[in-house]
Amino acid sequence: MIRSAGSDRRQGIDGLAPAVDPSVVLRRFGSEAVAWSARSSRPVYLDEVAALLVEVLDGSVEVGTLVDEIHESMTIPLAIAREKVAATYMTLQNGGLLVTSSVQNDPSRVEVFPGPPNP
Amino acid sequence: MRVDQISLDVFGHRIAIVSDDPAITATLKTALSGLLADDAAPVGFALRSPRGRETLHLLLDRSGLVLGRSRGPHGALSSLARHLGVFAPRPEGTIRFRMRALVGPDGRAVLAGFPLFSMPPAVERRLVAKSYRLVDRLAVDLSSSGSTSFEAFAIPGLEGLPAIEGHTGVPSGPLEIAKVLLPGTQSGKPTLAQAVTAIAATSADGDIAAAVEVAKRLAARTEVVPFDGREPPYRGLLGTSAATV
Repeated sequence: MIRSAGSDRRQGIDGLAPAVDPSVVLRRFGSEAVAWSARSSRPVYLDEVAALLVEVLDGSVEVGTLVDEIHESMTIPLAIAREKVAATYMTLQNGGLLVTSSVQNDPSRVEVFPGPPNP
Repeated sequence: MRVDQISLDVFGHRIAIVSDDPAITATLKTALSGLLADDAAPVGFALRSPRGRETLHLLLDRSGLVLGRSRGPHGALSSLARHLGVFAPRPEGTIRFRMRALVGPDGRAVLAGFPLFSMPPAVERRLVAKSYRLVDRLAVDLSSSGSTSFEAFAIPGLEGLPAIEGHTGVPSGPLEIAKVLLPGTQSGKPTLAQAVTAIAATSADGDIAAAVEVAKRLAARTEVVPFDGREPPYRGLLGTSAATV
């Protein structure tokens, strides 16, 4: 089977046990949620799967186990569950929501000017 | 053409104004004498007088976005003076959001996320025709109740100038928010969580939990308007074309 480099990277996270930064502001809206880390300049929208995972990521469960649980509890194919969990992991990581996140964003917020200076 | 740059320090924000009209430059230097900075500051606003067959004076922001158009120079100057108020500290207990505010005929405000009413800019006569006025400030300060709470800001010497029709200064009292317009595609309809995320992402400063709470209050009044980049969503002001979240 041929797998893309991105797919290989995602396979590599199966053994990780991510934990959500306890300082994250989390608000639920039905099955979805909004999460915001003080280390990041922007809030993150969490879809149904991400909103579910963000509640259970406490560093005690490996990603591979979560994939199996999502596959069974949401009755979705294993490959889809793997993709969903991997995408959610990247969303949380890039949004500065995990304790392991190395946030690249400038944590300062938006400027009042919507655009950059025009030379 | 000679262009002058006036560097200012407005509540600790270093910002410059560019003007191509020597008379306007002189007026500004006198009126803003208490805010002048010694060293060159980054450009924030530009005043441009009519060129060639043009008839309108323009107030532009640092990117070149048109903030206002006036027949004479005083309207643009008046608008500039009001826009400088965005650098004043926000009132205690408020969160600042980078959205434009438009005051409607019923005295309530409509907030518009970028680039709505900015790119392309609002045409003043279209706003007047709908009895709306664009607040001359690039951001709005919102209290925890979700109402506007602006700090008054005035520059002596520029206060009495005639405003651009279809524009207004910050209102003296709190304004209820009638709706929030967010740009989207025709088929896009954000959920409550998506609306809260989009609104909170425009907050410029303040506590993030408080910003999310204010966004939560506004999300229920949020509409997505199809944005095609051709003209501002005037119909959205009347609530006829937008999809309610």
